[in-house]
Amino acid sequence: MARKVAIVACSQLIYEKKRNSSREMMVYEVINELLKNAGISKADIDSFISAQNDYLEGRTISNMRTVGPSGAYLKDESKVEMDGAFAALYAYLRILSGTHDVVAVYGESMASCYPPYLPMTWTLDPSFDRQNGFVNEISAAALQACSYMYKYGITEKQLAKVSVKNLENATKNPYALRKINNIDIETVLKSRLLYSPIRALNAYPLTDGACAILMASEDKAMEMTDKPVWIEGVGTCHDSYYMENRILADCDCLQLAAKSAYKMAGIKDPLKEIDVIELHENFSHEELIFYESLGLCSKGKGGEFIDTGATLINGILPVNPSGGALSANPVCATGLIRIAEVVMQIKHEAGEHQITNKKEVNIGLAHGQNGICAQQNIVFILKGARKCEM
Amino acid sequence: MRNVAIVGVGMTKHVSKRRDVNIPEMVYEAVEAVFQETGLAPKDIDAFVTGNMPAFEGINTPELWGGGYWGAYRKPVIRITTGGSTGASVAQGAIYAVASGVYDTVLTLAFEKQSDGDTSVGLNSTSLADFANLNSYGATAVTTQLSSAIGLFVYQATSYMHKSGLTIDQIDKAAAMLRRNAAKNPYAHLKQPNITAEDIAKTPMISYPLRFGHTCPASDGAVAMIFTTKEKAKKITRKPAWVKGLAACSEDGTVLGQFGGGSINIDPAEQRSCKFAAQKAYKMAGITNPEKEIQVAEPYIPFGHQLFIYFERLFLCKEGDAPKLFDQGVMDLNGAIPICPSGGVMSNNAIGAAAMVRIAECALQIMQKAGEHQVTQDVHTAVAHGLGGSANLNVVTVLGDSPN
Amino acid sequence: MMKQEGEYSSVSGEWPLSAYKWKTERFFDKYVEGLKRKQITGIRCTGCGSIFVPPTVICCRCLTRLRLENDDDWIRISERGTVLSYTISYMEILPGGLKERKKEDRIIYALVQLDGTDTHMLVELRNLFEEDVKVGMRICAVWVDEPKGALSDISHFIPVK
Repeated sequence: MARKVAIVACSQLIYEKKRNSSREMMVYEVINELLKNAGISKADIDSFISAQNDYLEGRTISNMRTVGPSGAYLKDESKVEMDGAFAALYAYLRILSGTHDVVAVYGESMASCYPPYLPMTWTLDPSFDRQNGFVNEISAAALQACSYMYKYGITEKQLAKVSVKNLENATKNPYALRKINNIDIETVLKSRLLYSPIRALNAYPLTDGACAILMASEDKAMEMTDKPVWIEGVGTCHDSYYMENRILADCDCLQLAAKSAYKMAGIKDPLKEIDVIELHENFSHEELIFYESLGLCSKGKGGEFIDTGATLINGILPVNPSGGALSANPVCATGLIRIAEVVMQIKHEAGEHQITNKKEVNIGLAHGQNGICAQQNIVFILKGARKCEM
Repeated sequence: MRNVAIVGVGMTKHVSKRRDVNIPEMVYEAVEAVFQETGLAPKDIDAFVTGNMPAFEGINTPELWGGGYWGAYRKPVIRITTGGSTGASVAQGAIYAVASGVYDTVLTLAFEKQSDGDTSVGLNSTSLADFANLNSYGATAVTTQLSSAIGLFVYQATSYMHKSGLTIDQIDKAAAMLRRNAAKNPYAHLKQPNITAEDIAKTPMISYPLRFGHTCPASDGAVAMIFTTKEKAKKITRKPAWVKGLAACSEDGTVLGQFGGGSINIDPAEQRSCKFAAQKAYKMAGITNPEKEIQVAEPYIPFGHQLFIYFERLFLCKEGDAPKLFDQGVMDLNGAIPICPSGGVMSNNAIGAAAMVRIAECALQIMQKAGEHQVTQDVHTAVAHGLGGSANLNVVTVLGDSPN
Repeated sequence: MMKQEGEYSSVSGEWPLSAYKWKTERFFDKYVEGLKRKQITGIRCTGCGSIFVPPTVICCRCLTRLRLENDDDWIRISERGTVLSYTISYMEILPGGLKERKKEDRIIYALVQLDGTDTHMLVELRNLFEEDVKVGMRICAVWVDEPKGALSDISHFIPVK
């Protein structure tokens, strides 16, 4: 790649179940925080990319009124109507093209404003799936979990371990919404059953929140920070809509996206070379499937992998030290939060949930997803500068 | 910026109702057309960039459903939506994708199937949210007047008429000209080859100064374009169109401000964001005198008066001169700077697609593939424009006939 | 090739906008309190000095939060202003479509800028003939007889010298 792109700053707001503010003020606050963290003013930013979804907002052209609060007044701005990580991809493409040097990316959604879980049903094929009413976000996830468990002998306990790990990690993350102190497998297995085998603690919480990151070209990044986090690789993939056409027990789409990203970043052995992973896991079983798709373990061994403790915060490859989407999922922002959390880990600025058992956290993987049962996936490989390189 | 070529354009014929196809099927027609045009197939495409205006069909992110129909199976897909300017934003997304070097060949799609839903309900979803605050404080009746697009753009018209001396008579003529242009465009929705300004003048006035005849239709349609690198373009087509400059700019709403408060966009006809975007795009393209260097313009004109406003805001003449130049025939199909030889949004309006159709039409003019509505002079440089939101989102793209 | 009638079918659905709750701050509170006293007030941006009427939450020019809670940032605004643009509504926009108004029922709407402010507001104009509305004309607010602290307290605007 001729040009290099880095993430120079990020900002998050404390995720809430019901935030007491308009989404515009929420955007204003997260951007203000970003400018403060980056030490710049809006004049230094060339363009803004937002991640918002009209059906989550309940209004069309949802970026029409976030122009002002985000600082995009009289600036180049656009909107990606997908998970925030895809907006980050667009910003990355803009900077690589050479026409923009500094791009701010923000994503937001407020679950307290929209009817819960319905917006996803509006992605369904209107002439058949929507008429049947069988498929919604959670029932589809349940079908996937069931298929996965049956095919590979994964147990409910192993699913619960994901929730325990992530929600325990979340207790050390000041931004997280759902934190449960001293959580154990029993608590998860006793939580309310939604669609078997998905229980309340296996599913993401409805969240109000926003996240923003600032990306810059190499020259600008070096001016703005002494800890730039470089984007080494990115890969994305879009799978078939029809669940019948997919092998739900696997996530081939993520496998392909990861393959692309690894190739770009020159990663041959993810388990050895990556220091931290932040996944966008809407449901606990997804995280186990994702372990396999990312090549951390072989197909069907996701359950065994989590049993080894490898993905605990003090394990050999911590996954979701922030708590992941199970602890906070403001839908369009979640992918950006994953990127922001990896950036914080690499810069050693994650505070109480910083990974400490490694010599250094240098290479991280951030993941975003869209659609039912992760129909679209995106993977970023991020890298800091080793101390000796600086 | 790396050279980005446009090697093919595919469009469906825009009509008021396509009840015989659903969205994936309708968009597929445009995809099939562009693949046939270029001889490419899904395996040659590295990424898809797509978008529409989500409110009209009642489907959230339709490419999740339709992607497989369009060849996007197991490919990178990005969705971009920005209201009326969606098509242009999507095209620019594809341009950046190729210019970045990450993807070589990108298929971009924009579409709208307005007949699937109620257009006014869709547009209403913006105003309901906008007015939520006003209504809770006992808003006056003024807000109901704003729930349609015409209620918004009409203020632009009056302000501009006052400053430039534009008359309703001239808007009638402009509307008739655009509809007559569309009659030569096989893809356009409203074709009226013999329509005159008098016919337009007979249509009822909706809100001064705009008549029914000055407004755009609601169409079902899709457009697809393929962008690629200079090296690959050579193998696909003898004469591609080239991207020379692109920019977008956004500002405060033109009628109501944030939450219904005051808007600092004092004059809705000023369109500063359009001027900024045009300046940036022209600078990138190396254009210093647009009045002399542009041979075709496709601004986004859902209402007749905007032909004059955007002719000026795209710097195709001095401020205030557009009405005079219109009368002199400068904007005719065989004039010095033909405006919307395709008939424009006034004749063809599948909202999500409309702004990309502007870019596609400019590309067709440069590639000399516009058929009956090909302008008479050689086209070396063309400018396409998209407008969205509360007339506060402007997107400008400049195309040329040679790479950098 | 387009399919023929009988070869396709439709199903219906809806996007229930009423299922959404949009949140806003209560930032018109001081403004409508002023209206109750038959006073128009605006808020000044501490960043760039722009004066907003009606008030809003953020000055987009300089990205500063307007201090709506701070009495000192509110200033009294003149009831007089200038017409920036206008329209005359010939048709009512109803759910079913457009319905032509009778001539005496036509409404004149205008974008006006009150003296000393940096924003425009949308208002109704009365007491004048359609032919007499002009961009640049001077207008003045008219109050309802008994204002109750709502946006409707300003009934309409009329032309003045």
